[in-house]
Amino acid sequence: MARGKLSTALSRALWLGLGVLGLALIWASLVRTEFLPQRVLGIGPKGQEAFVRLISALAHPDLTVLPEIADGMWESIAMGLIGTLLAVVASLLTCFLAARNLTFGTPQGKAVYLVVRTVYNIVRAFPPIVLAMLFVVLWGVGPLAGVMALAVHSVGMLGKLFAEAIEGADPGPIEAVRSTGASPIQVVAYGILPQVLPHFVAYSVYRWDINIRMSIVLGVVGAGGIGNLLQQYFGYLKYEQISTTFLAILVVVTALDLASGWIRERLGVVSAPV
Amino acid sequence: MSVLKLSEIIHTFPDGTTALRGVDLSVGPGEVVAIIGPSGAGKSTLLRVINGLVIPSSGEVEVLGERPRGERAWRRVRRRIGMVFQSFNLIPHTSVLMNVLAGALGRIPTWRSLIVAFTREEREGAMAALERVGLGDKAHKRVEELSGGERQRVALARVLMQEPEMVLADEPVSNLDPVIARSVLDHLVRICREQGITTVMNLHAVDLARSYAGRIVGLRDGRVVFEGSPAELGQAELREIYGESYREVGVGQG
Ligand SMILES: Nc1ncnc2c1ncn2[C@@H]1O[C@H](COP(=O)(O)OP(=O)(O)OP(=O)(O)O)[C@@H](O)[C@H]1O
Ligand SMILES: [Mg+2]
Repeated sequence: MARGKLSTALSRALWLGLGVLGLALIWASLVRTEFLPQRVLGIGPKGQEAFVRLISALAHPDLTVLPEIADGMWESIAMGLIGTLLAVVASLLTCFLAARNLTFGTPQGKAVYLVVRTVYNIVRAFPPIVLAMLFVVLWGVGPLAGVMALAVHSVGMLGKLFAEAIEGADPGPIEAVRSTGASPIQVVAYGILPQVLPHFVAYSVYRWDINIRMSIVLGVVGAGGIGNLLQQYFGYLKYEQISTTFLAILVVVTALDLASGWIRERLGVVSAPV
Repeated sequence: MSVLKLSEIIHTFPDGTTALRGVDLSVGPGEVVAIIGPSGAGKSTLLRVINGLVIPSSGEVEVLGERPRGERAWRRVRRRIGMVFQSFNLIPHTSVLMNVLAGALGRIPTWRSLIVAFTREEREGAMAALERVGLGDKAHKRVEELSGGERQRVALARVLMQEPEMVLADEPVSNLDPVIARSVLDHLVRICREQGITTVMNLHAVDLARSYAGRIVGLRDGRVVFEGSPAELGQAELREIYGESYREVGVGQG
């Protein structure tokens, strides 16, 4: 009884300490990010003027740059597509090595599993924009660097999701295919793939959606796409052209939302993974 | 002469559970043997030892004239042994026909199965197998559209497609209602007897074992505690298998 009281008192003190720590963290972060009344409300006259010009420019976008913007947008979409395709292929080729239920039979298998999973974790740890900066150094300014950045980061996510889908596969059909005398490759093709393919497609569509959004941003570090133009327009404060770009992004992202929602619904996967 | 001879099979799983504690069993060609025993007795493990899905910790397995060593040798033997399962274990999201064709995987080259290029003979064989289990009209349905009894008959057709010399069945009708269970077992046992296929099946229901098997093996705690004809399986023997509290429901006991 006494022990029970002591431990509830202890745990209460522990929770109290954690609560205080949490509040302190939030306070320190508010200060560090300058989220303070005098800053949030203290927008200067120059800032106000620029913002008003930008907003009013939305009413009369500069349509003469539309071809340029369409081309940049097309470049972004193409980057998203190729980056995703590369990632899907690489993930398909490697995910089987990252699934416990396929590798844990032998010590070598375990080692391969650990290596592949570690690679996935490492490449996933770097946001695409950071990878893009790195790849601009390798391949120079342009969409190729962006494609590679999207591909590498996406392998980290798709490979992991694919491997987890395989681990979640029902062992029954796998055992049944094995019992026919099938080879290991046949077991994968007939016992596992039919089970996981719908998941693979849903994850890939989801990643494609994310990648197109990301490709809009990558141009800011010189890795191609619409972000490149946006940065130039901002550099020269060309409000009417910035406005056209904003509207174009709004249209494309909305269309993308509708399309990927429609595809996911048809696949029977309503909510997004992760 | 026997097509299956197990000698002193002991098996302990990696987690330390000992499922089989010295099993000897020999089965002659064309025999239909039922294995009965309480849950956890080791029935499923024993069945998997026969086709090498489980390699026992010790003991000898001689099956279809072979003593396979290593996975490659086991695969060659496995293609001659069909297996059906309690939960049917069909390949989901695919057609009934594709499931039956999968029975042929053991004898067709991997590259051909990867591009799903089955020959005309193979497709006709799969159709014939479906006809034999009374599902000729369901070939192009998805397995998800079938009832439990129909699914298990698809699994039977897959086994037929394999053209096996031996069939293993792990509680093939436990997930089916009693009437459907009998019709599925009718199919299974009739086909195996017609073709002289040696059959070993785990059954949870003693009355089913009595009516379908020529010989019954009682397993308890990883050991064979009874072996004999259905007529030799009396109350005393059943108590030996299932424990003192066993009381058979119905079936001639009054
Ligand atoms: N893969 C495994 N790893 C560890 N222990 C296992 C494994 N498979 C089975 N066992 C254990 O081995 C023993 C025998 O299991 P088995 O499945 O062969 O029994 P069974 O007679 O088929 O039982 P049931 O009637 O419930 O199917 C049980 O104690 C079970 O928990
Ligand atoms: Mg079992």
